[in-house]
Amino acid sequence: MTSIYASGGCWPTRDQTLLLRAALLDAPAAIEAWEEWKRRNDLDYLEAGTFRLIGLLYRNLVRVGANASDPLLPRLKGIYRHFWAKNHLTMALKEGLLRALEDKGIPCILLKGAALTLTVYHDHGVRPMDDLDVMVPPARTHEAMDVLEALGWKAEVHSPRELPISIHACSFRNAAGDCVDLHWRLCHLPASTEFDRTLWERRLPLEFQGHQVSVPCFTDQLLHTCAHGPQYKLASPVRWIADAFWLLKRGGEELDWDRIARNAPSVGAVLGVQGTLKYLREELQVLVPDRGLEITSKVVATLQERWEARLLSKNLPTPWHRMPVDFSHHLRCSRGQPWWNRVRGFRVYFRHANNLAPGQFSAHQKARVRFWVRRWLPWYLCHFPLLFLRSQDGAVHKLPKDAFGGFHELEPFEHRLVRWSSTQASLRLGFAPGRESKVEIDIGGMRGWKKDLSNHLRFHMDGRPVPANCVKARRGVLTVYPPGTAGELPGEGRQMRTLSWSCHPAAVAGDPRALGLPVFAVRVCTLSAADVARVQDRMDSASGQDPGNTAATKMDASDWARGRVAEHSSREG
Amino acid sequence: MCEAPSTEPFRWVLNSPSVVSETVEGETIVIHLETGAYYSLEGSAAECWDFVMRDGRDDQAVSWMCGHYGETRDVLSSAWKEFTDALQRENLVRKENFDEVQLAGTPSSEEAGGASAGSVAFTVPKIQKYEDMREMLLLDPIHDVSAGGWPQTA
Repeated sequence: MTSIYASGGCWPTRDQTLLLRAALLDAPAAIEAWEEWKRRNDLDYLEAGTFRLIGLLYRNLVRVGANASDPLLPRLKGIYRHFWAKNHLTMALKEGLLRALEDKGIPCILLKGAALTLTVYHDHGVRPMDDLDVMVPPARTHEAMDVLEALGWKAEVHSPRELPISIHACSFRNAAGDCVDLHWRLCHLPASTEFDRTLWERRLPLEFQGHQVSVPCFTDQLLHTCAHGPQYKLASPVRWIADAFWLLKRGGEELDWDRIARNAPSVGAVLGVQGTLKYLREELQVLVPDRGLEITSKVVATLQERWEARLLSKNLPTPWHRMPVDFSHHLRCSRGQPWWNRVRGFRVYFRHANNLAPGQFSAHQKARVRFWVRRWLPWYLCHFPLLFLRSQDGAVHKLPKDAFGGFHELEPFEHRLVRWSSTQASLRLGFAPGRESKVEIDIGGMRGWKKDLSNHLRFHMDGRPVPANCVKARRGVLTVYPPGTAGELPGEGRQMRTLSWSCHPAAVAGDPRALGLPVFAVRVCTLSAADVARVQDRMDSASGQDPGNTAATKMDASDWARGRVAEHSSREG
Repeated sequence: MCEAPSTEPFRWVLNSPSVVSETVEGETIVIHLETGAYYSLEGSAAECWDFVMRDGRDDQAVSWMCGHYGETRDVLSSAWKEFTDALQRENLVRKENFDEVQLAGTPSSEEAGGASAGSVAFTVPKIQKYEDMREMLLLDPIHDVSAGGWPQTA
C-alpha cells in the first residue's frame, strides 16, 4: 500500500496525533495521550484546525473518566458548549432554505458536517460547522439557485449559473453573513454516472427540523471524507481523521468496500482512502476490516493522482501556484471532449475554480509584469555579464527561505542581491558536527563597524549570547565565532542552529523600513585545530586588554574555550 | 393575556423544534433557535429541567421534588410553578394534553427517586438568560486565520 501520510503536509503532526488519540480512543490510551499532549502543548496557542477537535476531546475525556480536577476540563467544556450552541444556530438558520426547497419539490442531501452530526456523531458539540452543505440533483441546480436568491442569499462567485459545467459547488451568503454551500456533485472531481445515480438511491432519509432531508450512506460519506480531507487548507484539516474513524465505527458491516474501490479513482481519492485507513490502523489502532484493506489496497493510484495529491498537500497560496493542479482537474472534468476544446476550456475552468472575474487574472499578471520590468529588468540588463560569472558562495538568494527570520524581501543592490534584516533577526544555519565553526556574514560594507555596529550589534547562538569579542569585522565581512558549535557527537549529520542578532536601525535616506544588517552572503566554515587555538589566544588577549568590551555580555572568551573543552571531553568520555 | 384554566390533564414538553437543550456535567444549556437566546440552568434548575424532559406532569414533579429535597410540599410546589411559568414565558416549553394510558410506561416520581422525604438542600431553581450571545456564537474564528496558513512540518 502506498504510504503518503507520514511526512507532514496536510497529514496530522505528532501533537495532532496525540490529540486525536485522546479524543477518540478508550482509557487508558486516551488519558496517556492527553497527559502527553498537555506536556508538549499549550491550549492557549492552538492551531485553528486542531481547535476544532476540542469538543470531541472533551466528550471523550469525560467518557473515559479523565481526572475531574484537571484544570483544563472546564475550559474544554466551555468550548464544547460553544460548538454545541453554534452548530444548532448554524443549522437552524437554514431551516427556511430547506422548507423552500421542499416546497419547490427539490430533493436535497445534507453533506459534510450536517450529515456527520446527524447520523454519525449524534452530538452537536463535537464537530463545529461554519456553513451548511446541501446537495441538489444536477438537473435542478439552477432552480435551487433561484430559491436561494429569492430568499436573499447571494452567490459568492461570479456567474454562478455557468459553474455546473466545471465546478462541483458554490457558496451563497446572506445579509447576516450566514453561509450555505450548494453542491450538485459530491466531490470536486466528477464520479461515474452510475455513482451519481446510486448516490441518490442509497441516501439515508431523516427528518431535520420537521423537514424531510437525507444524507449520503456511510460508504459515500467515507469516500467523500477521504477525497476532501487530505488537502492543505488554511486551518489544518485534521478532523477528517476523526470523521473517518467514526464513519468506520458506525458504518461497520454496512460499508460497501467494492463501491469505495470502484469509485475512488474517479474522484481522486485512492491515496486518500489508502492513507486514511493506514493512519487509522497504525496510529489509532482501528480494526479496519481485512476485506476493506484488501480491496482498497489493490486499487492503484494513477501518476496524475499522485501528482495532484502531492500538490494538494502543500500550501498553494495564489492562482499561479494552483494552476497546475487546476489544469489536471480540468483535464479530468472535461474527459471525453475533443482535445482542442479541453485546452480552450481551461481558461473558464481556471476562472471559476479561483473565483476570478473575467479578465481579473490577466490584469493582475500584467501589473506584475510591469512591476518586474520596472524593478528587475534594469538590474538584469546592467549586470547581464555578471550572471555568467560564478556567483558568490553562500549568496543570500541561494539560502532556503525558511532559514530567514525577520528579514525584508530580496532586492538588487549594484551587481548583487541583498536581503536587509530587521533590527532583530535570525538565521537558521547548518553546522558540521564535532567541529568548531565560524559564521561569515557579508554585509558589503554597507554599515561601518568601528563607529556603528561594534557599539550595539549583539549576536546570540541558540539564545545564548555570543561575547562581543567573538565578533570580528574585516572588509565588509562580519566573522562570528559562536561558542560551542562543535555540538553533539560527530557523524550525526548537520546540526541546525539559530544565529540571531539585534542592532540599532540603519539610517537609509528615503527608506522607511527598520533596517538592521544588509546580508549579501552567509557562510559557515569549520575551524581547524590550529585556527581554534589561534582564535582562543586572540579572544584571551582581547578580553585581557579590553575588559569593558565584554561587559555587554555575561560570557567572555574563556567561556568559549571552556565550552569547547567541555564538549571535547564529553565526546571523549 | 391570561389563558382560561384548562381542565384537561396536561404535561410540559420541550417546545421543539424551536428549542434544543443539552445537559453537560450537571449544567443544562438551552437555546431558543428563533430568538437566539441562550439559557443556562444549574443545580435544582437543571434537575427540574431534567424532570420536564422525562415526565413533565406537575403533580409528579412536585412529588418527585418532595422525595428529593428536604423542603415542605408548599414551598416546592410554589417553586415548581414559578419555574414552569418562567419556562413558558420564554417559550422554552409548551403544554401538551396527554392520555393517562400513553404515560403508563413513564417512570413515576417514586421510581425516579422520590419515594421518601429527601435530604438534598433546596435552592429555588433559577434560569440564567443570555440574549447577546447570538452574534458571538456565530463568530468564525476558524476562518479568521491569516493567509499564511499553518506551518507544515518538513
